[in-house]
Amino acid sequence: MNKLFTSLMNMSQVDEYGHLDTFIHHLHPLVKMMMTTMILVCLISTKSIIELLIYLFLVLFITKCCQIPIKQLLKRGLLGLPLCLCLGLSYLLLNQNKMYFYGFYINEGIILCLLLFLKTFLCLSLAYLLITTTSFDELTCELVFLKVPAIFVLQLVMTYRYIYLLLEEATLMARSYLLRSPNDQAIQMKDMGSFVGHLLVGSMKQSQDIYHCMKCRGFDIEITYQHHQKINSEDVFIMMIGVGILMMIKVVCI
Amino acid sequence: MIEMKDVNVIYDNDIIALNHINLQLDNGCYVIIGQNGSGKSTLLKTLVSIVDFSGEIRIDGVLLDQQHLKQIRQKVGMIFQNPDHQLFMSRIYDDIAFGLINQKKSQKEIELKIDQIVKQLQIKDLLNRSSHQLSGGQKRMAAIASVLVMEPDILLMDEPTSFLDSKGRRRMIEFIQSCQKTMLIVSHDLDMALEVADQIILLDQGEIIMQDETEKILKDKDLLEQHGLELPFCFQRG
Ligand SMILES: Nc1ncnc2c1ncn2[C@@H]1O[C@H](COP(=O)(O)OP(=O)(O)OP(=O)(O)O)[C@@H](O)[C@H]1O
Ligand SMILES: [Mg+2]
Repeated sequence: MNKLFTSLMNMSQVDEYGHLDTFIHHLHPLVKMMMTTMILVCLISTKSIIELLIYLFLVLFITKCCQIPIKQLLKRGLLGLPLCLCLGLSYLLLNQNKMYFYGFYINEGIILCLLLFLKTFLCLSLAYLLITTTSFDELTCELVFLKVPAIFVLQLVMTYRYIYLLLEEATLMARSYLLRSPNDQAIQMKDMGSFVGHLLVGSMKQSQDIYHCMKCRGFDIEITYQHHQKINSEDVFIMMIGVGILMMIKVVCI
Repeated sequence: MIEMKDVNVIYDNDIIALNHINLQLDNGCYVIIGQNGSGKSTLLKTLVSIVDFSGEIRIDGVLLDQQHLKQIRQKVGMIFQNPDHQLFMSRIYDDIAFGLINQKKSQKEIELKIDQIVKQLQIKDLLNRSSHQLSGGQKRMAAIASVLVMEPDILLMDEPTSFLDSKGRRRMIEFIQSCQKTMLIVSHDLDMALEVADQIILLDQGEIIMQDETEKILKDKDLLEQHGLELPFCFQRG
């Protein structure tokens, strides 16, 4: 159980690799944001397994370049597995059509399931890579620079903080619950209702307190996040290479 | 200068947290004492308008309302009872810089000020750590630094010595004594109050029972016991 808690706590510390010194970490946040969006659009819009495998290779390559352990990436990327397994199984069971796939006839359901699985994994991994290599504050600064309305940015900033707060609060509460009921392995179903209820109310109250603290120290989206960085020629160059690679993948796979 | 005229705070329509508070505080250090739930934290929170109140509050003559809120919050620094609420960035350094960035200070100035404050509070080794990894006392120190660095004219502190060890507490007391600002401190640490306060404000059930010279209140055993408090340690012995 302790292991689970520790890993939950670690999950909330995505910035542990944020201070590494690789060229990807130093890339302009806007470039990283745009590249991530482009790869996401490309991979969501494709139906080819081969293309997805190429993206998978690309993601692993980027991970290596960022010096992030592949194991960490897998941990985060596979978070969505339970959800996409449920959906994928329904494909497998319901779709019995056969299709031709590189010399074999196989069930269409299998392909769809695989596609879904790969896409989910890749999306989560990309989001993880973006967040680990770019501090959230840098991203926010760029959003403000792009003139995204303050109210949306504020939502994003507070949601980001809230998720971690919720994780932390849940871990602490579960720990103290289990300490007081040494015979249980997990939280009992009968206590689940009040546990979750208390967790939500408590964490909401806490996030409200945090927001007040921020306000007391003069927090204002447009002032706090005004440090837009200048894009230099290296960033543009790398971005062009990135776009080139994506176009090549598209051309090869069509 | 802080003025409160007939201030009331009611939570959830039935919990009266502050009841007809009238206060006038000039320059100096004031310590609010009172038993748990007597409304001390609420009183501080009303001064930065975090809780809804009725009545009139003026800070340095400026009326506390929606229009002047920003101006007042720039003047008033508040250290909250729970340091966890105050630390929300990924590194302590960013937390301390947060207020300065909002004040639109230049990068150079920010670095200089942070350097000064961490030297003063002796927390240089915490700068690059995340708040999740700190002990209670270390968090408290970091939270204090994050407010002090903004150099507010008026300081509100909610139990600044809680979580601190005796050395940290001593550092805090020395800081308060050396500080020439208007300070309003909530504390259960009556021995500290004795050392730092110019005046004591005794609060019970949301009402101000007494506001007077420090020794006069802190030596009055009957008064303190009547309101759920005890004499400070140093008077208990002697
Ligand atoms: N958010 C809230 N909602 C409802 N009631 C509250 C809320 N916060 C405080 N109260 C109530 O208001 C009263 C005053 O609370 P306050 O936090 O000001 O006490 P305090 O003097 O700071 O106590 P302590 O010494 O324990 O910190 C208490 O009775 C408390 O239960
Ligand atoms: Mg309190």
